Amino acid sequence: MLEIENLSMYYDTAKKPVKAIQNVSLKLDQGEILGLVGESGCGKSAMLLTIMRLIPYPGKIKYGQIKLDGENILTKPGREMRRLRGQKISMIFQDPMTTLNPVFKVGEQVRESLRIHEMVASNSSIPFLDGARKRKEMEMVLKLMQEVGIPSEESRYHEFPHQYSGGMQQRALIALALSCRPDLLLADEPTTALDVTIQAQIMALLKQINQERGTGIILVTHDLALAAEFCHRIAVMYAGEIVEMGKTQDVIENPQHPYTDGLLHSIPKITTQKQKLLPIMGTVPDLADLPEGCSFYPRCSQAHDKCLCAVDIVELLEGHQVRCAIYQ
Amino acid sequence: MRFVKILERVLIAIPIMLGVAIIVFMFMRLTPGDPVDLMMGDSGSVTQEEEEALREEFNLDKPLYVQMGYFLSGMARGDLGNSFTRRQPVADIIWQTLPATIELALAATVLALLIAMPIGIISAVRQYSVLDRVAMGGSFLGISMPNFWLGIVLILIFAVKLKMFPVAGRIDYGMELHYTTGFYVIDSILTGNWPAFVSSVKHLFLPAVTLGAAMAAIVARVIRSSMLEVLRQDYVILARAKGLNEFRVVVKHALRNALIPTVTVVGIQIGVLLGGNMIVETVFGWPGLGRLAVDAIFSRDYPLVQGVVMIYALTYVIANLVVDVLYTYINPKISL
Ligand SMILES: Nc1ncnc2c1ncn2[C@@H]1O[C@H](COP(=O)(O)OP(=O)(O)OP(=O)(O)O)[C@@H](O)[C@H]1O
Ligand SMILES: [Mg+2]
Repeated sequence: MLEIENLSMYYDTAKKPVKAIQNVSLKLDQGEILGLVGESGCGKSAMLLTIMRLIPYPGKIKYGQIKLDGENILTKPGREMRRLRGQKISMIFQDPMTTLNPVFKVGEQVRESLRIHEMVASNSSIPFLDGARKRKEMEMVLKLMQEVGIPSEESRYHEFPHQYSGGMQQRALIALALSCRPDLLLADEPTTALDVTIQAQIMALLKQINQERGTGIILVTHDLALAAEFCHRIAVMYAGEIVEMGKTQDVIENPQHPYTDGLLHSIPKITTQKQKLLPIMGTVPDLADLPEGCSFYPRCSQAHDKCLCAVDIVELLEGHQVRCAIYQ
Repeated sequence: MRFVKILERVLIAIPIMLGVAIIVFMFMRLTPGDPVDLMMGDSGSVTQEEEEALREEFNLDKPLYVQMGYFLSGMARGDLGNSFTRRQPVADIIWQTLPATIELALAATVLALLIAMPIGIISAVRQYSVLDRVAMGGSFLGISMPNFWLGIVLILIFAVKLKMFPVAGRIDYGMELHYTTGFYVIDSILTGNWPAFVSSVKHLFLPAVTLGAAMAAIVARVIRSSMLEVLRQDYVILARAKGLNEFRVVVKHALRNALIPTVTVVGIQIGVLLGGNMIVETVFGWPGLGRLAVDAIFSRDYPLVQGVVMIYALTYVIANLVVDVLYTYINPKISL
């Protein structure tokens, strides 16, 4: 359904370009959940915004293609792109607290989405004065709010975002994202701002949407454990590049890239009694000033001379790709 | 609930008004110059007795605290006293001049907002564009030009040289108009009197521009800066992600938020407008409260000055109250 080929996106800042996405290729099938995992600042949000074609200034797509159902969306005129946004592709943003517009009622914000994409057709000659249409839309919103688990939705509809808790705001955003039944859902850390119980509920909700409607989901998270539990496939990102991608089981049980391996060793497991956590030393490199060759090289435990040359991503096993000099 | 809160605010205004009354009363008496002397100066030879009689009529022979007592108790009954120079109740004089002032102030405000809003919005959306630079340069001029100077320059260029607008007044001399509201523009529309409409709009234009220039400049700047702030917010990206076109993103989602700080500034500017109107009305010979106040001050017409200043204070209090109430409507997080 979604096919990204050799995509690169840089922020053309005054000094050096910030290489937020470099040469990323990936595929997402109908009904599939892909986890996009990586440390803070590695370009996960940038990736989703690029798919929406909503990268803020000074971000520019340098090359590559993004195909949705075979059509390259990067060349679509603004009008057609707007029709896709919210309807075919929708996005759940990272920070629910700042994403809802503070001056509009939450219910109305959801309803606006239905209105733009004309989910309820109007029979009236003056569509914007069509009371029956408005009532129908409101009913749909209430149903959506119920589905995502917003209690007493009748009164919640008329409340403003600041009257919602963070978890409720996130649910409202999910209701908004699902309102037009998108084929592709881009979820940017949908649960980071929430506590664990609500986190579990929201993930269950997304899973349910995925199974019932066949909605494809790209789940961005820095939590490998969450991705492992929830996704069909996992892509590990480092410094704007995908360093390893494959079926969840393959990536988790048989990690090929030293970075993935490091990530797996730096998360605690509840089941094993005693386990030594091995944090990855060092920090993410500055995307405006990347080292030659492999970006992970300065932090890698298995670094050697070959790492200083450009490294391509290669398919090791079926559907299991790795970008590491070891396998070149 | 809202009504009770508003009533509370209205009640708080009473001591403020009382304070203003006392201060105006004292300041007028402390200003050098005697009203009777000034009146007598015009008519040449006057006897001692006639002067005494006037002083007695105006209660100027009584001690200050007695005069203040008369003033305050009169005011409590809604009686602002009689003008020294015009020998008419002050309330009547104010009532006759008020529409002219309100008409000018409203025209200035509407004009200022009509110009400032689009300029502020476009300057923010196209930050650093030619339009943005020109508009911000222009607004800098607008803020720094004094009212009277701008008024005189406009008169010289558009009235004297180009003869596009009249020099002074509210309507052409001898023009027939049936007065109902006292707002000439509205009266002429109500009676379908188009020559009078054109004439009154032409008379209104230059003073309204002069009075509104500073407000337009400041509001444009405030809208620009708050729009720049708002346009960076996540909810603007969400609005785009919903599939809205850029016009609705900017005008609906961003502007509604940017208006919150703007309303406060407009409220403050209405106070500034009140001060400006004395100067602008004098420059353009506009027969309103501002000019009335200036005349009254020069002739030391104590009751008239007091009355006009009280109206100014009341207007200011009401404007602030309206802004506060408006604020609660556009900012859901605030209640009165
Ligand atoms: N407007 C911008 N101009 C320049 N650089 C930017 C801009 N926006 C983001 N970046 C940079 O792009 C890189 C990728 O940012 P992105 O938000 O995609 O990270 P992320 O993986 O989502 O991180 P997090 O987990 O913290 O959300 C970061 O290094 C960031 O500093
Ligand atoms: Mg992010």
